[in-house]
Amino acid sequence: VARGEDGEVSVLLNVCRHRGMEVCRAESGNAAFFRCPYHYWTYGQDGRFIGLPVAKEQMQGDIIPKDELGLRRARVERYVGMIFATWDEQAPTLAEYMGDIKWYLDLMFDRTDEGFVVSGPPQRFLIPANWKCAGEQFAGDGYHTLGLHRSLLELGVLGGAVGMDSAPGMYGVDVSASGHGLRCIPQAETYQAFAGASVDGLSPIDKLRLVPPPGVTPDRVDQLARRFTPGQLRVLADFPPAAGGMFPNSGCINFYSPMPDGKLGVAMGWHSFVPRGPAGFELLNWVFVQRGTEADEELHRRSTIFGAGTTGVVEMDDAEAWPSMQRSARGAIGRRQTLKYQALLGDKKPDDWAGPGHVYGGFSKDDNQWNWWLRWLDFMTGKAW
Amino acid sequence: MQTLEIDTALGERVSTRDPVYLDIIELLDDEAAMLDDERLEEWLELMSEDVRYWAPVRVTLNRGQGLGYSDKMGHFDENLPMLQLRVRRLRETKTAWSEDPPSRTRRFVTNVRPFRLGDDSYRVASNILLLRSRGDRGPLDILSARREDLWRRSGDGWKCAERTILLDQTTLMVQNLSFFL
Repeated sequence: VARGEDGEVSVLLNVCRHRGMEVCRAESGNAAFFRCPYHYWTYGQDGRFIGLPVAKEQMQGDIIPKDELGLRRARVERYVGMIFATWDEQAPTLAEYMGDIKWYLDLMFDRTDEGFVVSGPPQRFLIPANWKCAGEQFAGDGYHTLGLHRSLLELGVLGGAVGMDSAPGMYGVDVSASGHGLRCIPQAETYQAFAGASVDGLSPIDKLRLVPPPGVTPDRVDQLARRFTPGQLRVLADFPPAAGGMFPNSGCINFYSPMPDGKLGVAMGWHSFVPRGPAGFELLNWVFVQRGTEADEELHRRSTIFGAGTTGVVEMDDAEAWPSMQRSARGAIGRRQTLKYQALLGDKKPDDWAGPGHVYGGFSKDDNQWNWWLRWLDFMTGKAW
Repeated sequence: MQTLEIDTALGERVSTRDPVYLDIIELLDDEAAMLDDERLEEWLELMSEDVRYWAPVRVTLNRGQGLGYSDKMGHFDENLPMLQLRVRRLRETKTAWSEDPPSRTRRFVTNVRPFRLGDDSYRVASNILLLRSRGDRGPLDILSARREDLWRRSGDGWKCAERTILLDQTTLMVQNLSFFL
């Protein structure tokens, strides 16, 4: 990923056209051009072929013209500052690809005029499991909190008291669209806890003034009213999207995170699940901090990685489940056993719900994840895009 | 990218012939045993009220561009209440799955270099090699790092006020860090 002197961002295949050595071998830095160390084939910041030494000897040959010898370029689009790329020239635009889920992702990541900053480089670590384990979970597995993250329910870090028949945080509204999915979490208890008051009868924007969304400072709440439709404001006030994933291999979070020292943190960031073979994926964990809250950047960064990523007290247990699933899938008999996605609720849109997509109100069931797999099946059977 | 500046030699090197050197070796050896034996309450007693315990992420940079440690983002970035909650999770619940069954860690702390900052205040650099075994699976997880600590000695004994864990890898070949380094 390179930003040219003209400001344009290019996403290039880091593979020299000549013999395939990587032309860029640092993760970060500045360079006027990319020069392959092997034979000095040299490319511009946008990947175009510039030349090679001893030009008179024409070591690029004469079969392919010079202007076709650039590094392979991906198609690039931006969303709230993030860079998305695809190698497929037939792919739809990013907005078309996001489809109905954008209505909700905007509520998570496109809240203010200033946007957010990325708080340093991502955590990177290797999980010995197939990337789909993480992909399908982030699409909408609210249910697993009950078992896998039970320690945090027991400690009172997540939700309230927990028994086998109660499950705080698992009720809400799951939304699914084209395999993308996310979970919207009811805010009534949050208002009670933070504001100590009932918010019945307040308008959405007045509720948001009382308790602004994570990372949004009180003076920016008016921006929400300007940026979002009344239907979006209702969802943001009563059922804000808190966790989800864009199909196929990303995850995202955005919610308040009370810290053990009594401070109120924010958990906000993005995961990518990058396949490293069938039985391993690299998890990249970026922390986002809303602009305008830089004074709290350290707190927000700390609170995000306390729950998520390498050392996250939430996600370190996810990293126990996924490799276990992977081992089971290698067993001679275990691999023949099918997984159960049988708790399908069917569309159940709450009254007054203005948002698009498949909407499943109530206990977080299997619909979102099953839709994720159906979308995956589309790609596997050639019905791509 | 903003990278972390690391002071390699603050203060006066404590000679291997100085009795304090042996005190610090004893301290780090005992600390390592506490962590491998999972005597975590004892270990927490070694942390000061104002401790900062963190492990910055690292990126690969070209030669001459620095060591590549972030001055912001970390794998760990903890204060004492955060460290305490991690221990409570293991002790007060039966559902801390990433450590149940527990990991078996074996750590080797070497190359200890203490520097005297003032009365009873020392910067201590050390290397750590940590091996982890889980279940019946191999190979072992391997983590290597340099640690830069700030230790103070008072009537309560030694207290760690700062630990910076400088992991060698940019992409950790482990599924999580569910233990302390």
